Amino acid sequence: MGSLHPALPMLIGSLLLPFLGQRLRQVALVALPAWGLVNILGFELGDTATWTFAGYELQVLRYDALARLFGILFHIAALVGAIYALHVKDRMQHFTGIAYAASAVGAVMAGDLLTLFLFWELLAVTSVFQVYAPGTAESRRAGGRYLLAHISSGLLLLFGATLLGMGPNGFEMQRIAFEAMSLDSAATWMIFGAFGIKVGFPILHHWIVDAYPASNATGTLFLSAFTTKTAVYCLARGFAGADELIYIGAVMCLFPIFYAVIENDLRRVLSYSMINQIGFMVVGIGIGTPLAINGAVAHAFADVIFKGLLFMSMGAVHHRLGTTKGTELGGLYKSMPQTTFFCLIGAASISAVPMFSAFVTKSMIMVAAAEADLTWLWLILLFASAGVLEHAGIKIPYFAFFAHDSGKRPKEAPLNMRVAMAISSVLCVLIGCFPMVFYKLLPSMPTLADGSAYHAYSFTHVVTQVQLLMFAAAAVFGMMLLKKYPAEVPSVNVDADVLWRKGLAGLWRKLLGPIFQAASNAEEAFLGWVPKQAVLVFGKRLPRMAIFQEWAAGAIVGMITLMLAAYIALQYLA
Amino acid sequence: MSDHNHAGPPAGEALRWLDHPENIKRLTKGFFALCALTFLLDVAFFFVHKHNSFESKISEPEGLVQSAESWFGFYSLYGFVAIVLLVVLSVGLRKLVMRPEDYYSRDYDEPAEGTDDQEAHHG
Repeated sequence: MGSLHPALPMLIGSLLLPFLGQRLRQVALVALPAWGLVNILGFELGDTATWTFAGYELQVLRYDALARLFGILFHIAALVGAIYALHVKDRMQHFTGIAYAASAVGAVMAGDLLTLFLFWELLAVTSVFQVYAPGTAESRRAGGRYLLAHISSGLLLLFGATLLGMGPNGFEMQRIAFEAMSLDSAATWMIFGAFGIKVGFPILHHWIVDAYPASNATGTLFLSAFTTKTAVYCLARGFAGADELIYIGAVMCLFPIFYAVIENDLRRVLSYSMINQIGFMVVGIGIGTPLAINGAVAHAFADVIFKGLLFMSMGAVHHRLGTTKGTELGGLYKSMPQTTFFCLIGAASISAVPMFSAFVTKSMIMVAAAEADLTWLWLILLFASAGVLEHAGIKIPYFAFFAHDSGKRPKEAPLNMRVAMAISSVLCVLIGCFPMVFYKLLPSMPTLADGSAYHAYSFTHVVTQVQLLMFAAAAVFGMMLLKKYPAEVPSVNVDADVLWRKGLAGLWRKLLGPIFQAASNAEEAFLGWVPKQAVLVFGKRLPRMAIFQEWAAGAIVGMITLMLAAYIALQYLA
Repeated sequence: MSDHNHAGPPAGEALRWLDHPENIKRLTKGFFALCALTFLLDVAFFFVHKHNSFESKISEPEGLVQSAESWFGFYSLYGFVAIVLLVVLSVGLRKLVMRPEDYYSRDYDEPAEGTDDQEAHHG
């Protein structure tokens, strides 16, 4: 057994980061996930640990194959992310980035819903700083909306768990062990909804396409790795085989690929792409057979790496040019050849080209759909697979690095970014070429319905996949040649987010606008007053920090958490 | 696509291999030739057994849709048609959902990102 709970190395270590100088912080940034990885590999399947907190015995560790897969994944993602973020000067982003990774690890180790909730909230609070990172008005607003979604998710989880824990003798911990649940009560529906917000169910997905493109290069990378995949893990753990997930997942596979065709901001294209890929996972979890679950979680693992790689390549472009809008880019391969190369590896991986990672993971979900006799679903997944090639396989690299020469000649990405991209590229190819080694990490070795072992590299699979991809590409290039392919246009496309950002926000402004205006005036006055007092006390003027607002948001989450914890404690006493 | 964003290579920069239209033509031809070859790969399934996804259903009378997978050129055709359909429908979707870039940001009193310079000029 490892010496420390898997979340602790990064969680404790992250607290030191703000106090270290730039050099030392860089060392610690890479050392913490590496230490965490060594630590987690020291655990053995079946290890458990409990921690008594406020009279509750929390099961803080349940180390089985499913938890191990995600635990290892999150450490790899944190390590790659840390290397990618080495050039960043912002202490806050380093600190919250590593704490964010630790929260995700803690969440997947949780053996009960209360422990899960605590890490769920920590995940929300630490991750929002990745959205805030650029410090622009736009990113602050996106961060606010992001927080709203995730606090709602946390509240649903807490209410659901509390309701579930209520037995005839009051609240009992053993009733909220985090095991498979069925959708037969208000409590489990609430928990389902909590997971649904975080995993990006249709209409609840708005925060993904809203917040991810609003952050900076490193922020987007961290965001893309942890939150949604933690939720995928939770669905796999709690709701495997729920039919609802098949239909929800099918919609998630489909609608984003249409938006991806017409979206101008390439990082938003990747955000839509992420929903589409999670759709495959959700479908797999809904089918619920061992092969489908293996496919779903294997695909989650592969997705964090190849989607991270694509986000890193677009992040490098954003780092150099300050934009990822298709209309502003083109021809960048000339000055960023290595970034172009890494982007192409990511594009091949997500498109499930043979020898690359998705080829050996997504296919398990397809086969499981066919084994379950879901022909309509199989046809949709095949359609979505062709669509992935269009937006992530071709559109992303083509409009950024090739297409029409924008005349821009940004410098190649910084060395640390290239190292991070190289590591992910190697992993994509290794998983794609040696699936049998990778499959050993899965909950069980993938087997077909007839009991034989699943092999990704059958002659039929390779040939049919190559045909599908080649002709999908032929259609894209053919339509480009015939000028039928939609040109990039500077624009935004309204999506379900219009409900929140126009509908709800408009109502909010009308009803509460006057109150908020008064509060904001008071806050302005206060923020103006503090620096003046500081002159008197410290002899120098403190900057007026927008960070106050962010801390305020964090404090609100903290207060809600405390209130609810008190509520549970009272229930327990009663 | 406005032209000023696609200025082309700066004056004096040497042209690359991909900058020559005849090379693009060569690539395109090569690509479509490769497509034709992959289409013909289905010939192999006259000699090698094709593992269809819905093997058990194909022989049944109601298995018409499922048997489509065993047709010659199914995957090639499916990939091609899927993308054409995807693009055509997306162009339609654009008519429905496309808005100016400041659609959301104009709700706020403060200047949107990127317009700070203009504001500074006013000040």
